[in-house]
Amino acid sequence: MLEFLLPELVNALVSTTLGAKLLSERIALGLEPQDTVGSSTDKEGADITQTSTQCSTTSGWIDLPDDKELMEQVYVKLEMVGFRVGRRLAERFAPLNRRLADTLDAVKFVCKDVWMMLFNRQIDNLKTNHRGIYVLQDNKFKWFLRMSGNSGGAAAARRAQPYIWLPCGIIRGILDSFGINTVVIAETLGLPQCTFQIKVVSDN
Amino acid sequence: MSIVLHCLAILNCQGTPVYMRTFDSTDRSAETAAKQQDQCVKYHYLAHTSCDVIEERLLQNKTSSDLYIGLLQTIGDVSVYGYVLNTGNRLILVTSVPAESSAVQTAEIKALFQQIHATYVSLICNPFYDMAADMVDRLGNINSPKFDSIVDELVNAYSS
Repeated sequence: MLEFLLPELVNALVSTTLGAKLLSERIALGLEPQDTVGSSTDKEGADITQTSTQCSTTSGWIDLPDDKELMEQVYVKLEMVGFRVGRRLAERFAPLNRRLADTLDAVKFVCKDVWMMLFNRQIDNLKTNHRGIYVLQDNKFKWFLRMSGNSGGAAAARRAQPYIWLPCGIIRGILDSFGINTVVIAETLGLPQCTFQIKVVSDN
Repeated sequence: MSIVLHCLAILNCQGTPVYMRTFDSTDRSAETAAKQQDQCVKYHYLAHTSCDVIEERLLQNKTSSDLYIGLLQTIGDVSVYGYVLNTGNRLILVTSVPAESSAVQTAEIKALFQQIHATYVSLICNPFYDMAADMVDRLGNINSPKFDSIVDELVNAYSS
């Protein structure tokens, strides 16, 4: 069921970020008085909501807006959503009968238990350099299984970018609640394969 | 069977108290108000020193496979038990020194800790619980009446 909710979540975030950005641009240009930031009841406001609803009325959008700044904002929002979800997941599903002694244990917990719970399967491949870098490889990432594009593999992989930011946030949230500060980057070389790279950031 | 519980404290991984609850008799008379203040300070102090003991124990048994740490210290007429969650939070229980065998005591205290853990998890899972304050600077406090009432029930069940 998560697979059906996820496109809606990503869509909604993209369209609201786009709407907010357009609104702030219009305010900066002086086309709108400052106090309509919360409401959009007048005509110009209706234009903005129209553009943003165009993004969300179709079940998937036509193409990702090319705007880098916009996608950065969407990235930050999605990743924070994943982070908060990850923190709660870790509290709820941390093992009750054993202690996770070190970072490797925590990453193994992510690979086995969390992936099993979210996607009903485990990570296919875990590599580490034992110095704080872990690479998790999933060859049949569940959320990518049904994705395919008309214009070939590279374009489809680019369109799938936002969907991969959410699991990055989830992994970072889980590791953070075990006290491990990390940076998580994901890439996909071809749907449905997907690789997450975890870099442990030490506090010194 | 009866354990006299004095205080339950929850501290986060940096040692900041997130929740502190005393179960002594609630006399509201004026003479005992100052005494209650003292008690409160005393339990804060106990919770902090227990933190140090927990750190020691954790360093010692790196291969321990249990969340329950056991009896941390016995000071005067109270004993302090600890339980550390995987996410770093520490649960600390202050009770009176038991009159009976410690094996029985251990099993009960462990069961009590597990139930408190479960209550804490269900508190976190509440979407209305403000974990944001906890996340920003890890100083969030647990202000949930429901959590309080469940803790009360558990304590009554174990003390009677």
